Amino acid sequence: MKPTPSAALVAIRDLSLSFPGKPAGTWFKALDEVSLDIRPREILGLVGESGSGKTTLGKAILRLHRPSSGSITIDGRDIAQLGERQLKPFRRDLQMIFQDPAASFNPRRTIGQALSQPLLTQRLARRAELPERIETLLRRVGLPARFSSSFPHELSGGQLQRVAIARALALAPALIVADEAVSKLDVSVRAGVLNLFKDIQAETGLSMLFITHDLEVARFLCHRIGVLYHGRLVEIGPAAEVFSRPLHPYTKLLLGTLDAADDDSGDIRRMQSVSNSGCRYLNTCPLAIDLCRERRPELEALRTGHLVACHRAGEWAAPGAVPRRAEQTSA
Amino acid sequence: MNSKFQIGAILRNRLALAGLAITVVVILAITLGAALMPHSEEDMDFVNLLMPPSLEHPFGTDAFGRDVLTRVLIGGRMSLMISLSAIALASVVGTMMGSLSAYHGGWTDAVLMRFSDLLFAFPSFVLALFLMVVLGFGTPNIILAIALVYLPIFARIARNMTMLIKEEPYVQAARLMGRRPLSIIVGEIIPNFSAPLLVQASIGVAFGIILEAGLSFIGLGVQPPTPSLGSIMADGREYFSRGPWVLTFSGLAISFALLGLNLLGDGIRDLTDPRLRERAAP
Repeated sequence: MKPTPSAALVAIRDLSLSFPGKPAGTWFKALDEVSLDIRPREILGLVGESGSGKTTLGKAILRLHRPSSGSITIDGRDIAQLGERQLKPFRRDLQMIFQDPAASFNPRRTIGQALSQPLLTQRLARRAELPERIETLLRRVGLPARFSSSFPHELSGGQLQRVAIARALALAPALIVADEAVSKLDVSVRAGVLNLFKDIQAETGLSMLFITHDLEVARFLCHRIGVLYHGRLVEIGPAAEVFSRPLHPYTKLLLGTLDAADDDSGDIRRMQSVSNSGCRYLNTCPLAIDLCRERRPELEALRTGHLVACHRAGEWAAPGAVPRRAEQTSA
Repeated sequence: MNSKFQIGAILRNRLALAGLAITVVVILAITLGAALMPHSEEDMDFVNLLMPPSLEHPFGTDAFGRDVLTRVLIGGRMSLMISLSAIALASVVGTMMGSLSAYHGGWTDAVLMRFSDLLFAFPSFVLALFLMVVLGFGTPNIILAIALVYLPIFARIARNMTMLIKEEPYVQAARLMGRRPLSIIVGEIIPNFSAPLLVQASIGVAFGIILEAGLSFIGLGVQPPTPSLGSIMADGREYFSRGPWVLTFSGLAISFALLGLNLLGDGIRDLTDPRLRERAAP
């Protein structure tokens, strides 16, 4: 079952993206028929290990990548294959916050110049209004107006990430994709930036796609959680649901590591090779049965608004159900 | 990448300072020098043919009794002007070509870079010779020929740097604002690799002078009676046994100018390359 399109701000259907791989002639499927809705006024968390396609999905939705197939519908228009020129009116609505705040700004431009560019490019302000607009933007993210004449290297990571938020807000977007937006920040400033995200979302009512490998961050911030595993969306549902009663074995694995010592690499350890036929999680999954090898599971709703792509999830979706190991079922 | 450097840093680097000093002296000499000389570069004095250096003629006179120093100064101006114009042309066109190529990729990249490879495949002097023969004589054509020889070098640098910089988040942010590719390339990407371009340009000007001198030396460059360093040397070679000063002094003048430009180029590179900056600092 697929969510009804009318409720979505951005509706993504069967989005696939392949990169040329090695050896030449082969293709690496970074995204494999991903479908999801980003609803108005929600923070949707996207979790998964490194290389699972989280960032690729975020960038594809913003059309920094061109998808191989599938659709991205905004305001009733599919932008998946539009050219750069046709994209310009949509650019206003779609903004991004990057992982590395230091690299998010041209080292040769002042903060004021960086903030005036989006306004001038989209003709949202006249030159004379710029100082005032920049001051308002900086205030909004909790920074003093004097930063306007500073260069990026004079600000700390936390301050720069706030400026990055201000730059995204300048265009009054409908959706902000935040790609690991706090993972490079010191723990001491992380909470402040996360609260800023929360406040801004509540005030403006924009939607956010929050990409993170940090489940605590996702739990704190997100309304819904999507779980990516090697380019496949394996589970999506309300955050409280997913955290308390995960349905997919991979999500269970992720949550199992939640309390384990968080290693700095940010990677959740890759377990086994990825299967190319059937379910991608097949080789790691302790609960796999023959059906998992034969047919690829598709997303289906097992609870209200809680979708999972797993053949066996139905067995434990009901309250009190306990998964049995694969040996027992096949015997 | 931080490519900022200050004039102060140049002054602390002794080699760069020497290069800068020589370059300034050369530029002053060829711009103002000739006006201060009592002779004109075309004044012939048939009484004083092939006179050795003296107070009156510090570099001696040539086979027509013309003052060699005056001719070297005027010729130097010609050579530098040709080389500067050529490098300016090559750097602007080459950089745009390389950046556009890297930014758009695909078809554009393939066509522009194969053209650049074609130019790169020949030794620079052979290519310049060939272009002069194809284009015909005349100063604008020398400029064009030297520019074409240098084009691929700038294109290659610009392409490599753009490849790296275009993935930077600030470039992606600029795309998300809806800015046009050309505005992003000129406004965000090129300014962030201006240092290696500047280094290449200063070294390029030196090689441009050599190339022009080489072409004029074999008679394909600047046509007489206009003096250029190469044509003065070519004249000097003919009667080297009777008046060695003509060839010697014009050759030394070129060497001096090239020394300055190369030291300056190396100095700028040392000061702008973060890996070398430690060593360059006092």
